[in-house]
Amino acid sequence: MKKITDILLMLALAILALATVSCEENEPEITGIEPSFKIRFINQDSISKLNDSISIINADLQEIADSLVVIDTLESRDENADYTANKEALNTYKKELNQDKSDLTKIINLINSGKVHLTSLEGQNGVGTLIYEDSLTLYRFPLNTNADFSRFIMTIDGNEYSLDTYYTRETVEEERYIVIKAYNFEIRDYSRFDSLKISQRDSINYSSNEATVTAYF
Amino acid sequence: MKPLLQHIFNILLLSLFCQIAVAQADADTTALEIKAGPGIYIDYGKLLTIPTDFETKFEAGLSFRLKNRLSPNVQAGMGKLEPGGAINNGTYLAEGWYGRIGINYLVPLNNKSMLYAGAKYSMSRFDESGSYEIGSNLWDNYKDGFSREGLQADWFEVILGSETMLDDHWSAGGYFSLRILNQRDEFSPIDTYAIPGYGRAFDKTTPAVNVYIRFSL
Repeated sequence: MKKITDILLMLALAILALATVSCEENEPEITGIEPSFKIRFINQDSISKLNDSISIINADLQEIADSLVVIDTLESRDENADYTANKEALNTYKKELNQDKSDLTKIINLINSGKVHLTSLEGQNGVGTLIYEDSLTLYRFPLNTNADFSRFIMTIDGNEYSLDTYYTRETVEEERYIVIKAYNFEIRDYSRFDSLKISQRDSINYSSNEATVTAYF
Repeated sequence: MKPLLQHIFNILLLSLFCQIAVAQADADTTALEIKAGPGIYIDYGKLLTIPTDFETKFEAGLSFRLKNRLSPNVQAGMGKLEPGGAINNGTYLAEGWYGRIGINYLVPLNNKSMLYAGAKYSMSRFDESGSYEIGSNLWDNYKDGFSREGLQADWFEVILGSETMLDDHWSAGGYFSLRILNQRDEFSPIDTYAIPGYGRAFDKTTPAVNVYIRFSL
């Protein structure tokens, strides 16, 4: 019995010794941890043009409605008069206009969702250019961790736009990663964009990663 | 690693329990005498870490056994720790010396085996350094590091162990200890991760198992 317990003891100690050397060696994981902000693009110019088109369609629809009222009046005055062909033509045109209006409204909704094809993104004095294959609703822009300023140059539909972002950096340890957090995030210049909105609860207590920017162009 | 440690600890406890049961059946333990005298021992569990990349440890000790079953002891060790999980996006190294001084109370189970319980005071003096990197597809990678020298930490240990004589001079043993951190240097934002001789710095208490071969002089 004693020999068994001795063997048991030595076995436990051997397993322990093996356990101490069985730890894995990890390669450093350095990507996807830089500070960033999210951005959505709204093509406000297109929305304005589409709204103008919808206004014209609405005016045409109103004219058709007025014409139909006139035809109804004429028909009620003269029982022998036949305006069927005119009415049919007007109703067909009305149907087409309503279809166009519906299509345009769908496009406006799509633009409002922010789904825009950003062709390319590069940073001034940066090292690379990001090329996007597909349209996205929300883009993630990584900030320069070596400076308190990042200028982004982007291309949408062949046009070049730029954004100047400013922030203060702070080194923190987060789940065993040493990362840079960007606080007091703001965008001071946005050339060629019509307007800009930053939704962020509190620029002091929340890092840039919590910020979502909406850029109208 | 944690469940494995738990299993080993359970096996150790079971083994100790069996030894006690066997000893109680065998003889009246109060009649057994301690072989008094000095002894040196070496921690063979730590020697197994020398071929590994992530840590290198060495620990040896000196103890003196008295007829009254008390055994004052000292240990000295060195540790070079490079845990992969310390900085996920970089590397970390803690390297230094430590010493323990303590006293055990020996409980012989028969002429060859004994149990013991004791307490120790330990301190470590060490250096640590680390480097980290934040990658980016758009900007230059951010690289930085830190180096701190002459750091100190101290802690207490309560231990429970068992030892079996292999022949007249050599014996093999092991003990479970609970280390309770007393004081250490603290840093922000990147705090100390590992203390040679203690373990992870942010654990206020930490369990450990040591295994050794003892040579009685």
